[in-house]
Amino acid sequence: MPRPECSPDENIVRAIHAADWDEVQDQKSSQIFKGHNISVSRLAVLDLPELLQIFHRDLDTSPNGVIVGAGEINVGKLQEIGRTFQHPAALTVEIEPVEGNPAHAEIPQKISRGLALAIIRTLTFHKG
Amino acid sequence: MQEILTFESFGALPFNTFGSRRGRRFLGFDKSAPSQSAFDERLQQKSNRLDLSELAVRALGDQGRRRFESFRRYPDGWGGGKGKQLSTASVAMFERFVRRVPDIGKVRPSLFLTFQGNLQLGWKDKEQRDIEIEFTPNRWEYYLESRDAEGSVTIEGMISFIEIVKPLID
Repeated sequence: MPRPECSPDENIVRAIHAADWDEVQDQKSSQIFKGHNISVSRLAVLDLPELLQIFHRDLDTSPNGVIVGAGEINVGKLQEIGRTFQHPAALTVEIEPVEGNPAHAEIPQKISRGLALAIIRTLTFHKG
Repeated sequence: MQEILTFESFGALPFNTFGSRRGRRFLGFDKSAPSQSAFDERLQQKSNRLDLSELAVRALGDQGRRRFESFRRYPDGWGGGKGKQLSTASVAMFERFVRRVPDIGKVRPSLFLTFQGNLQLGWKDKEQRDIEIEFTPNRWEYYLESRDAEGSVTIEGMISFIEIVKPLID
């Protein structure tokens, strides 16, 4: 059964690891969005402080490699970037609540290194 | 898999000797190959080392060196269980790149660690276009925005790839 899709009006956030963000040089790694089934969280369900709390609880599994923030993007904007990329990709954000994070959703399509970097350029970064 | 591990464990070999008699010996195709126990010992010694050469430290600068030191301490399972420990084979592939492109320090590339335990470099060229190279145990995976090129090169293709990357360093 197909999962319901997020509306293009919604905003989503993606947790960002210290390993993926060189804060001193403000350079980000494509790893933030590269790959299949990328986990994101919907700000329509939980607010940013609640989500950051979840990210730290679930992803700070050691003192090293901790979450340093989150990147926010509008779903419609994400889809537009996919459509207009040199190698277009029809991106969807599918609602997939999980235990401990009712706001969880996934982008099932494969996101290439180049497309990931194009997405990352438009993220709004929240430290936390 | 065994071949890759064997080759990478002797990362100090110049890569243009790959396929030579010396290289094949370490790949285990030569009767004069070192004994398995000697090989295991060297592999163990190598796997215990996660240090960077002076050349690599210079290329990365203070910030890159600090990030490398931090990545060395990431345990298996970092990042919610998905992340793997820094791969010694990836470090060897990174060193191979730095030896071939010693001027990489000019652009002060950022250093990243991927969930697969690989080192990755990222920087922007003069036109602020992205360049990324991930050092997997047996290839370099890259994205060159200025050339709209994304892919990977094995050891045989590295010299050609470096000729493409060098102009993006000025």
